[in-house]
Order: sequence, then C-alpha cells, then structure tokens
Amino acid sequence: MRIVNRVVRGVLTAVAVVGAVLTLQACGGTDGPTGLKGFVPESANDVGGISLPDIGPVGKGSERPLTAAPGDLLLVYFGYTSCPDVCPTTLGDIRSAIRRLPAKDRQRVEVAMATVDPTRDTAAVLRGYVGHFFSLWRAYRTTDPAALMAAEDAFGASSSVTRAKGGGQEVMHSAFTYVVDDQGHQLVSWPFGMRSKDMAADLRTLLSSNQGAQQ
Amino acid sequence: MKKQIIAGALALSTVIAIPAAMAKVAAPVAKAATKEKVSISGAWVRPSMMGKDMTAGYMKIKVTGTSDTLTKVAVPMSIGMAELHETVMVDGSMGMREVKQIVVAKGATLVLKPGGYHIMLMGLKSPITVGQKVPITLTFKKMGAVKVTATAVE
Repeated sequence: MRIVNRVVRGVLTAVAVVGAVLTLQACGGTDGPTGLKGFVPESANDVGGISLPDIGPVGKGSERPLTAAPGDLLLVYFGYTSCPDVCPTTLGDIRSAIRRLPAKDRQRVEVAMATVDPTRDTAAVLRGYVGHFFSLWRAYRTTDPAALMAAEDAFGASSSVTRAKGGGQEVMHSAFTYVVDDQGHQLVSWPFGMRSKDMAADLRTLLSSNQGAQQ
Repeated sequence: MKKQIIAGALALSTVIAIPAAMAKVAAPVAKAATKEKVSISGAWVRPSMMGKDMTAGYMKIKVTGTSDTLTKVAVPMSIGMAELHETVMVDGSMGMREVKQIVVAKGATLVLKPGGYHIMLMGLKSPITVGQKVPITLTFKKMGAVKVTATAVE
C-alpha cells in the first residue's frame, strides 16, 4: 500500500511539474518578476501612435488614440457583436474582473471594444452592446479596413470577415484583451479563457505600480 | 506567437465555471425501454444582447449504458432556430463552425461550454431575457429525442 502510495505520489509530482512548466511556458513567466498572470510582451509594444474613431459617449465619433486616460488603464478588445460565444464570455469576464476591484480603482479602468465587423456592427448596435457590459467604455469603429488592420498590427491582433456559403458572415479574430497605459504601452495581454480573478490580480498590480503617475 | 497559441489551447481546456442553473431533464421521448441513458445538467443560455437575434446555450451531457451520437439540436420555432457549433482556434484566431454530430463515448460527459462546443441560437423571434426558460431538444442516434429546459443567466 505504501509503495502504491509512493508511486501515485511520484506520478502526481511528475504531472504537477509538467503542468507547472507548461504554465510557465504558456504565460511567458507567470508569477515571474512582474507577478502578472497574462502575457507580458517580450519587447516594449507601443500602440500610442494608433487612433480610431471612438463612437462611445466621450468620443462621439472623433478619432481618439487607443491609450488610457492619465494614470489609468485601457483594456482593448477586438471583437464583433454577432459573436455569441467568445466575445460575450470575454467581456463578461472583464466586467467581473473590474467588479472585483475596490470602487476607487474601478474608476481607473476603461474598456474599449474595436469592432472587426463594422458592416454588421452599426454605430447603434455597437454602442448598445459595449454599453451593456461597462460603465466606462469606448467603442472604436472604422469603416476603413486599412486603418483597422494598422491598429490590429500594432497590438498583435488579427481578424478576417468572409462571406459564408449560407450567405452569412464568417468571422475569425484573435481573442486577446490588451491592457494599455496612458503612454500607449501594451503592458500585458490576456488570452481567451483567462479567469476574471487573474485579470483582477493583474489590474491591481498594474494600478498600484501606476499610482505615482496618477498623482 | 507560438506561446500564445499554447496558452490559448490551455485556456480552452481549462474548466470554465458554469453558472448554477436549474435544468429539468425529461425522460427520452423514444425508446425509453432501452438501456441507453443520458443525464443533462447545468443547462443555461446567455441572454441575447440588445439588437442581436442570436446567443448561445451550454450544458453537460453524460451518456451512460452505451456510446451515442448527438446529431441535432432544436428549439421551438416560436423562439428561433438552433445549430450545434464549435469554437475553434486556427493560427491564433478564434472562429466558429457548425458541427454535424458529436460522438459521446459510453460513460463520457460531453461538455458544451464557452470557447468550445455550444448550441448556437439564432434568428430569435424575440430577445431572450434573464430568467427565461428555453426548451431545447437534443436528438441522439440511439436514444432519440431528449428534452431539456435551459435557463437564461448572465
């Protein structure tokens, strides 16, 4: 019995080690020096030069950079509203993450959704969709495919919309959420399926390290 | 990018909490006397978004007694139409595709969850709101039709 236990324990340890290594590789240093749960870009990824029309309550259609307000964080997601599975799951998780923060920190996190499907995502539809999830939000919508692609490239995102056989649209999109500071630095990105408590942990870490900038 | 793809795959395989939802499972309509058995738990649908005539439904389907194949999903025409879909990741990009059937091994549990297999509800006649009960009929090759009621939860 003891031998069996030892064998079982050995196997479990091996599984745990393999799991830990995979996790470390996957997340580019989970709990590493930065303590962040998501991916930290290997080199500084600057998106400060990118701007798109923001049709949200603040932008009202004007071109705005995809950077956070001073001392705050902006979460950027490239998605589309006809997405019944991945997008609402991610946006719901982001909402849960923000709700986990203390009230004063919640005011420092804004969420921006940039539509990859501007044909179906009319301004009214997109505004209703993003506004459903968040109180502080932006909705970026451009009908210029080159401008959208330039923005996606800067973030390391991608998307494609093709006409499906049945007449509908088939949309493929990278489903990451990017956390950007007021300088346009992409600080961390979260893959689809990231737990809201891990997102919240990253937000707390980043907001506390950005405290100085706020004051 | 490779790292991101690995992580994406890992993320997909992680268990995503399914909100506790009441799921009433009726006995199979046909072939009730056979050994095949299915139990469905945690059936829920996401309320539809304003102005959108689509959403998705999820549940756990445990098949005992024999293997079986899920071949069709349906909702009453008064609600809209349903298809079995799968979210897939190709070169780091996520998309959806229709799935014609899913084989479930004996004793296995087929999990429909965000980021994986799901029931796509489309052409909704009216919005699906929080708390609404949505009857869904699953058709299996051996077992025939199985009815379940999913609840709309945020």
